[in-house]
Amino acid sequence: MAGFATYDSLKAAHDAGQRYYYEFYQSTGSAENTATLTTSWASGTRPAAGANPATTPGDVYTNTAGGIIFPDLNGVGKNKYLYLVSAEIDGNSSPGSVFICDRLVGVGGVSLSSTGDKTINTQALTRYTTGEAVMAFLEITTTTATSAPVVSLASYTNQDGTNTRAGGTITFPAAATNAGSVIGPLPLQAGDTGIRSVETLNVGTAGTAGVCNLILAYKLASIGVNNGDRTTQISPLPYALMERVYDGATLFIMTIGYSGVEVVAGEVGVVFN
Amino acid sequence: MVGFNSFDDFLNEVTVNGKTLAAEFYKVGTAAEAAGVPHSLWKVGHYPAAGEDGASTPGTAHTSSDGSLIKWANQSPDTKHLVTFSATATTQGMLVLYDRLVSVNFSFNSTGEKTINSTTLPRYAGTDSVGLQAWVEVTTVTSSAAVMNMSSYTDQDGNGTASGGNITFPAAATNVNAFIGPLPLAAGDTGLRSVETITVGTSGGGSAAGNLVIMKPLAYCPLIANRGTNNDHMIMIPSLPRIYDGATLALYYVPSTTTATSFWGSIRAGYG
Repeated sequence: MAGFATYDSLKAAHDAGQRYYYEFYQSTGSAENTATLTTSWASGTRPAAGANPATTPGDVYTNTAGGIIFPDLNGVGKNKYLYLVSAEIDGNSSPGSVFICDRLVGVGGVSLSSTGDKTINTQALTRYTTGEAVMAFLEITTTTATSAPVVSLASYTNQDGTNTRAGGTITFPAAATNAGSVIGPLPLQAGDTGIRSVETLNVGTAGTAGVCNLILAYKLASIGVNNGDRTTQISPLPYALMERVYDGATLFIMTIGYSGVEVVAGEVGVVFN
Repeated sequence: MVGFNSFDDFLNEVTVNGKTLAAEFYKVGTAAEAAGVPHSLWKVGHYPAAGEDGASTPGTAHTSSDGSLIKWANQSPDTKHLVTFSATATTQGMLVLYDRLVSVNFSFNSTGEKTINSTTLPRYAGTDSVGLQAWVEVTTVTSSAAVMNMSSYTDQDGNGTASGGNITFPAAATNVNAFIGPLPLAAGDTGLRSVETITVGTSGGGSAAGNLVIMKPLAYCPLIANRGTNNDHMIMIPSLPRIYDGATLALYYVPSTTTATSFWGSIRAGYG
């Protein structure tokens, strides 16, 4: 029976060394401003930089290099649960937040330099398959120029499996939005609370440059960090709910609260039973 | 027996039985009226999309309404309980998670008694209405600082014709999405079941209008700019607020600045 039927069984799992532990140390992307997300996916050093996803229909992330990954255990009847998240932003002078997310699918090479519907057709989710709480983000890989793009999910499939859904628009923070910035989560249609797939992205206002990846991700943890200080969150005491880390999970980091490049370091630990 | 009868039971339910529910939100607020004046995030997107105004009297009873942060399936006989409420905001303030029960759109651009006759509560009925609050969510900017009171409401014990004190809007031009309240209750009251009338003593002028919102606050999340807060409601703040089937979860915040604020956050619940 996977999971922890009692606190004693959780303690026994720890005592038996049934845990994996990963220390990460990466550069953030160069966020456009302190109110814009950025990602460490394309940066090293630990884990090493991940690659941009392929063009449509893109990639499915399953223990993919570039992510924080743990061994698969379902084959031996065990599940993994997040028990430790810690993070710091080295050298920063202001507070911020670190998000630990599971990177599910992605489509690369989406042009932001021309208007119209861009074919995305993400592949089927292999985790969080209902799409509930799954979010779509745009990772900027080539800095935009001239005009701040305005985009929307022109066609996606929601958490109930209903397709041809269309979300509202979102405007990039600047005409020249830095590569390394992350836009999102992208707006949903009224009534929706998740995404199973994205079929098309509409660029309503285009710049003269700009390329992005469209990523579907699920957030496992968020942690606030003070300047020059490491914050640690332990589950289940005092953070009672232990998020499951599924086999194949490809964890990556997003941050908020910084402009420019920072160094983000920390730890992710899972306990299994 | 529903709920969790021990910490072991909780661990078993959420890990062995996988009884967890997740929701995410990303809200881009509009400019707040002033520091310290609560501001609603109901009418803004992006994730999920914005909710809508209530209907005019008797209004809208909210059951998993569009705009809700959650659309979780009913889990009866199991009961759902909030375990984690976390958020990051671009400015300092306090974010409040609440269950939006009823909303009634009404105009207050003239003085006098306004008929509300709010519809039946979809949750927290009867004496469970202890702790419910009534607020006014501005939907059309005012041109005068309105003064109003609940001139007739039904309290938590079912006593009709209760009447509360006045509340004064913070400014002549009170911003759209300003969240005014909670509206004062009569001495001795601790909740309300319905609102029958609101008396506008000083008009909001222009086309002033708003939603009378009856709600149940669930959780509070104080925020420092850009530094996320992660609140656990099992161990850190032992409360496990119940999230009823059909709940329409929404947010308002108490700002420290008029600067429009963006929020990213998560809700996690367990059920058993």
